[in-house]
Amino acid sequence: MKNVLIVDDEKSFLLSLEAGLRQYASSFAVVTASNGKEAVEVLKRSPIDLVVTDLNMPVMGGFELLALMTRSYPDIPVMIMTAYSTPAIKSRVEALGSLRVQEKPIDLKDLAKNIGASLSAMDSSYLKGITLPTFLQLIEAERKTCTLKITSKGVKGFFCFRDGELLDAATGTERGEAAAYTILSWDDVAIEINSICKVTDNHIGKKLNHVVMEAFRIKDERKRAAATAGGGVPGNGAPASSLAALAAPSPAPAPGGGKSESKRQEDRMVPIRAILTEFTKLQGVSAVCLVGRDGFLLDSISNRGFDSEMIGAIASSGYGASESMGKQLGKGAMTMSMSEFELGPVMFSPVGEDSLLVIIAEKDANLGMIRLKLKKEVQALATATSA
Amino acid sequence: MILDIAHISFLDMIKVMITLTGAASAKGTLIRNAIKTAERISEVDYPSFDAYLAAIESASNPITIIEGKATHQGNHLFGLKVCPFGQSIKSYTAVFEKLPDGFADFTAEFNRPSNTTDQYGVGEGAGVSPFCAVHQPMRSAFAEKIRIGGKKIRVYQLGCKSGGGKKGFAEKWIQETGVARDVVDKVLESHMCCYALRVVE
Repeated sequence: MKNVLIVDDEKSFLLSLEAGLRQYASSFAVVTASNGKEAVEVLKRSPIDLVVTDLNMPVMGGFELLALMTRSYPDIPVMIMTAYSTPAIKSRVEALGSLRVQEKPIDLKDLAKNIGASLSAMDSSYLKGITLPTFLQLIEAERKTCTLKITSKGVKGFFCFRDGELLDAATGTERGEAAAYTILSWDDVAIEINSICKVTDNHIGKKLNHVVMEAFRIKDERKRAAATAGGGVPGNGAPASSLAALAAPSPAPAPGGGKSESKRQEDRMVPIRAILTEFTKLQGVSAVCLVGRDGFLLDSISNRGFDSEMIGAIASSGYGASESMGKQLGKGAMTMSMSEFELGPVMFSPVGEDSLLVIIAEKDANLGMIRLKLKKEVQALATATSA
Repeated sequence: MILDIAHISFLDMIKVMITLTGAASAKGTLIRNAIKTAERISEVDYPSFDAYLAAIESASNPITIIEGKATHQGNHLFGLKVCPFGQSIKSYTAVFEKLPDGFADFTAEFNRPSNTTDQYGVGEGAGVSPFCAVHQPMRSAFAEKIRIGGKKIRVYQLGCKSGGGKKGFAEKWIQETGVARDVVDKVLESHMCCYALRVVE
């Protein structure tokens, strides 16, 4: 039997939830707490499989509880209940893969469905516990003013938010945007939250979403660079200059030796990645994947927590199906395909004969700009891919 | 003659996949399926190449379990007498005379150079039917779960022969492994499949 801890300061609301969810007693048991402090006591004494929490509570609020969970209970999945979420924010937070958002007022069936999904996701690839990017997105969504202290493997850093706007970050000798990227590259973080922000000027100059996306890209490049070098991913204690090193020119090839296959492959990917990056700068574009026509991923940049490999496979089938339909109807070669979803479109475009580009966008995406960019860049991408 | 409906359904399903989503996507689906199957097996480390061969004889080698006993031709070169999909093809052609439409396009697609076939050392001309797109990557993916003396191994598909006797050669992998093409040709005289195993340092 799975145990679900529901945290909210409204006693009557808690009681009604507890009573309403009793019909699902065969699937999970409900334990309640009226604030973060009580929730911590429950977590200490009982095995809990999922925490469902409100964010604004007296004594100890939801953010403080979430921060504590990153330190003491990082493997327990979390669902938040909020009245202030918009579909775009909900989508953005959930897309990071470590948190579900339950909108208030609560629909009991919907809540039970989400609890069931969260509990079953514990056995799948769904990320457990709350991640730092998700936490930051929540701070922005809830327009919090606070300072976050982030620690990981002996190093620490800070994020400062005012009314949900990321104003500054700092770690070691780094400050601002560079510090934000460094901190966001850390694994196994613990978060502490203080409801004071002493910073007044903006030292970041970018929206949080862009910072998170760029941090994912940099982290991804670090992994690739480390893999190419035959070593592991640099630890958190790596000097700050390790990020700058990514932009440095590659060392000259060993004398007398030609380029290795992996080096050639790496060189081939540089212009591809540059073009993909251009797409991610467009308004509302949250991910871009270059996929072989066989559905195997060639490269991707994403600020979302989805399974890129699986997206590639599905994209190949979806694109192939559209293309087959065009053939059946005698419509000629396919130039683009788009699927509209409630929370934004997904666009597919062929890249030469062997691959396709998948653009995943949010509801506020500028489709005209994406189309223009596709027209401009697809040929260059095809050339780079076939090089 | 009692036919195996699973064989017939599988062959027709490939045809449907080709029709609905195209040969490239169907190829990817079959290869991914083969890789996913390999992900579910346990890793095994043989203390020596002789132990690896002994595991083939005792049919406990993971690769043997999926394709039957291959015979060692020397220098880590193997021949497989019976195609694991041979029975499927026999069942199908016993009813419908010829294989479904689209299989030739699919086979050509499998033989086209791609990152995936590079990764698994397959295709590149060594495919003679759509089943090669299942069998060859699956063998290579299974090989990734095998070590000999603690070292990884890699399999290269050098050639294959269809039921009708048509041979396909992967010049790229023949060149990379340094096996003479004549040797591969000779192995294929008496086998349906020829592959090389290399221990990765």
